[in-house]
Amino acid sequence: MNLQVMLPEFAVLSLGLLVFFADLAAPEGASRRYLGWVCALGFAAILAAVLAQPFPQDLPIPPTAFGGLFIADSLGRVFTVLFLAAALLASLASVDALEARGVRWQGEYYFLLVMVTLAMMCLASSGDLLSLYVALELNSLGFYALVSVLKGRSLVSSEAGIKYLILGAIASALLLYGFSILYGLSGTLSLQGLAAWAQGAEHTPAMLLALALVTAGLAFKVSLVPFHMWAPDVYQAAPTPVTAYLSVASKAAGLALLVRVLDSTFRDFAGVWDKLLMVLMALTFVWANVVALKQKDLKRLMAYSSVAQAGYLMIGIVAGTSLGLQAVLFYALVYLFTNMAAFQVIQLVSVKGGPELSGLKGLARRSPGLALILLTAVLSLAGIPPFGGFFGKYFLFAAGVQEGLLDGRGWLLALVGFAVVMSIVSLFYYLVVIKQMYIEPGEDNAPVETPVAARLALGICTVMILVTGIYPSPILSWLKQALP
Amino acid sequence: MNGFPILSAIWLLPFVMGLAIMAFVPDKDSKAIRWLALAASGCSLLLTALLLFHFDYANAGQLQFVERFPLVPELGVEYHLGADGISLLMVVLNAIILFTGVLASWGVKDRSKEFFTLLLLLGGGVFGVFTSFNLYVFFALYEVAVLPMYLLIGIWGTGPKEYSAMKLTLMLMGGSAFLLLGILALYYGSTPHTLDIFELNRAAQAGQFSPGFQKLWFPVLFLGFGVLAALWPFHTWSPDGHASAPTAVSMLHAGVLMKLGAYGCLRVAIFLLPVGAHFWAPVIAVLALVNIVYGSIGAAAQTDLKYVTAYSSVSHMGLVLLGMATLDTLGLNGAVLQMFAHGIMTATFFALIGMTYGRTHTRLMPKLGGLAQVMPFIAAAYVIAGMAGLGLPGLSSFPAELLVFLGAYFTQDVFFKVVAVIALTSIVFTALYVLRVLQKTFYGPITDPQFKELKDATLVERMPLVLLITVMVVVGVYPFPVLKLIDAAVLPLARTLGSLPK
Repeated sequence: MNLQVMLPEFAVLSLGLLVFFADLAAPEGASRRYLGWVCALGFAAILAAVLAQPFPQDLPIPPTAFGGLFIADSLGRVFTVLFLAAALLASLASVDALEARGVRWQGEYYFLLVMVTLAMMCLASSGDLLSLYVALELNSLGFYALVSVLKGRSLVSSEAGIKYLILGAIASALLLYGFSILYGLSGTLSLQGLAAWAQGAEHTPAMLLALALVTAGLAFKVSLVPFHMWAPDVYQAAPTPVTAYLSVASKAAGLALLVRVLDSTFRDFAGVWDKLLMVLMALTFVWANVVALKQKDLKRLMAYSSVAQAGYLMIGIVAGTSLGLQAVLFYALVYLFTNMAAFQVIQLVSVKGGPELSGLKGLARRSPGLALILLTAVLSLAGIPPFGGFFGKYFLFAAGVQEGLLDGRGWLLALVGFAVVMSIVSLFYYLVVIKQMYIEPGEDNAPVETPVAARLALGICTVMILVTGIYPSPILSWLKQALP
Repeated sequence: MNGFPILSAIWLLPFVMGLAIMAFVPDKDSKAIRWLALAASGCSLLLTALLLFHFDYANAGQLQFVERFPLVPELGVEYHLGADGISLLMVVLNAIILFTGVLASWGVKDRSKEFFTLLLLLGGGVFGVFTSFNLYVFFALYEVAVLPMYLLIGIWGTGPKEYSAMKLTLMLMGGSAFLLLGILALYYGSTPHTLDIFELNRAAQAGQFSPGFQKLWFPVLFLGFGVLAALWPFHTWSPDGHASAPTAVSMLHAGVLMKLGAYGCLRVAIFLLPVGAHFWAPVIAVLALVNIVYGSIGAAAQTDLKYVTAYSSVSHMGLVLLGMATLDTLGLNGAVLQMFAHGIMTATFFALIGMTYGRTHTRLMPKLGGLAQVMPFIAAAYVIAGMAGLGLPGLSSFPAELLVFLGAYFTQDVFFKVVAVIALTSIVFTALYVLRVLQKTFYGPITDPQFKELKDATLVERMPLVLLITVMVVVGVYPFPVLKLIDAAVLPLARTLGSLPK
């Protein structure tokens, strides 16, 4: 067994233990704010080390560990980079946010943050339904606790934690039931074994039921309508850095599962699950974008926005080509930096005054820099050039149109057209955010306090939004190395 | 031009200056901001003059000053700038209007930093669109040029500004959403896949786009651009938007941005999908006819000066679209010249209305009257612009409108003859609303005693007017160099259209 392939995972585990023991060793009541910086530095170092490594040679068989439970392939590597970058930004965002909200359990918070990251890394690289499920549960349990970390300060935080727990458990049950049927049919739990078995398998009702259950479970994870119900409440009530992390990393983990389980393993059944996904996408475009129009709370608005964004991401998955997969990964990357930037600004602004949409009034006068960054992020989400979201969406639509036009998948083409039209509806609520900042006069004229950690995170995000939008070539060639 | 990237310089100069103003100039220093904006737009104007000087007029149909730099080769995305005769003319138009627009905004004191930043971003984006020959960059800059409008109208506008700004932005972006699909279809419809406009034209001539494909995608692209060109029934953003916008924004929007739409219709939809163009031409002609007649009747019914001009823009843009719908050299020449002529004329109108409104604080004709007595310069300029509006010989609109009408009348098709004759009736309404505006606003007795105190145009205000009217007169009296330029550039287009089996 070659444990070397799991070095990044072990490094993150060590970071978690370091945080854990540092928390234990520190006297009670002492400030644990520095743990945020420890996490940020740790994640940055691991990220740099991972990026410095060449991609593993996938062919013919990728390196594995624990008898195939863990696959260290390039796809897993790309997702590892995504999770580490998101974790880095989330740690930076947490440093001052937790102090501002007076969170008591900071040691536990950072420990859970690291463990959740570890779980997602394992999830994206698991090669077996069993290890996949264990990683998924570790990840979910960590998030249930993180969401309700404001317990005692805010009632809704606990409520959101419970809601997330119950709905998450149902989704896990659906997924597990689907897995059990698959095991019953094929007699194997390894993804490779399943892929080999699926090549000649018949479209039996049991098989279709299993795929439908798995798709539903994964749709919960990436929050597609109608499995999105948890998102608005949880996003609204969780501490903002957790919301940000949840919105990007957890969604990316769901994407990793979709790619691993549906796209790679059940390629031969694409005709079944892609129809299901297309129905979910159409529902998502309509429901998420229309309901977002009515939101008064910024975090709820962002929740519906991120549900809609998940719909766009599915275009690449449904296209099922290597171009589509690249587009999905690229957009996930852009989305990470964009959402992180948006939530960071929201967090800073809502320290005083709460996360209402009207809290943004006059921000362009109070803090022109923050307003500009939120403007950038929001326009990027709306897919306006020259920001990353524009190229990302263009890339996704291109993958969809390519399949639709050249492979004659008319429904996919129609769905892309629908997505484009609904993105204009989404422009309305993004413009409302801009309107609040730039057009409405505000009452408070004091600049918003922006600590160093937040500045750093915002700087990284803004640069990445611009780079991915104006000159995406280096990142694309990096992705191409991973997925030729 | 010895390798100096002059086209990049022209569009990046205002763009970068806008960003620099935003980043470095303190908010309070509105004087420095104004002068920097003027310097940037002035430099672009000078560079445009240099461009005119170095342009090879013998080969106006070919791309000149080409700059290429691959951005995303795997998706055909390339930074590809160039200018042919049409681009050149549009760059000149934009340079003049951006420069005069900055001068016309000299009085903007409220949040002037953001105002001039956005104005320069808008102007820079427009330069970029007119010189881009890769559809991705073309589209990206197109959206960059449209979006600042939301804030420009939303913050500095008048009346129901937030409603107008939102309506305008959503309608224009809605149009551009269709463009995105159309562009991707063109990309995947061509072999090898390309986004280069001239390569795509070659693909079209080689018959790579089947008639069915062209008939499906032509309306998508034409309507996508047509929204910005105020094609009826997608023109409704235009009167509200123009009426609410501050002076310089109305100038740029009616003067240049609407031309972006028309330019796109010509350069992308017609140039790349000629069979589709032939198939849909009668429909476009009818829509353009509605534009012309409905716009002029609408203008005659309005009492707000800005609404009058906005509806007249709808009518005049109809002439541009009608010229295009003829798909004939004469009509296409007229369409391009009308784009230029209307840009100059309507910018003059909006500048004058801005000056009048700044003094009288009303734009409603029933409240105005006799202003020629107190501000003769503004009145005289308004009369000249009005005469251009009704197509008086000697001013730039005359040759343009003449060519469009002749182009429509001399096609083989009886249908177009009928359309041309009906379109001609709009001239009566045009005369009606132009003369009514002049009479009610500038002549007759002074209606309000306060108007007696008003001052005529200042020096800063006279400069843009003189520049615009000079262009109007020069092109009107001696249009031949401009027409030669347009004709040479329209040739490849006409060849694409003419080579088709009838």
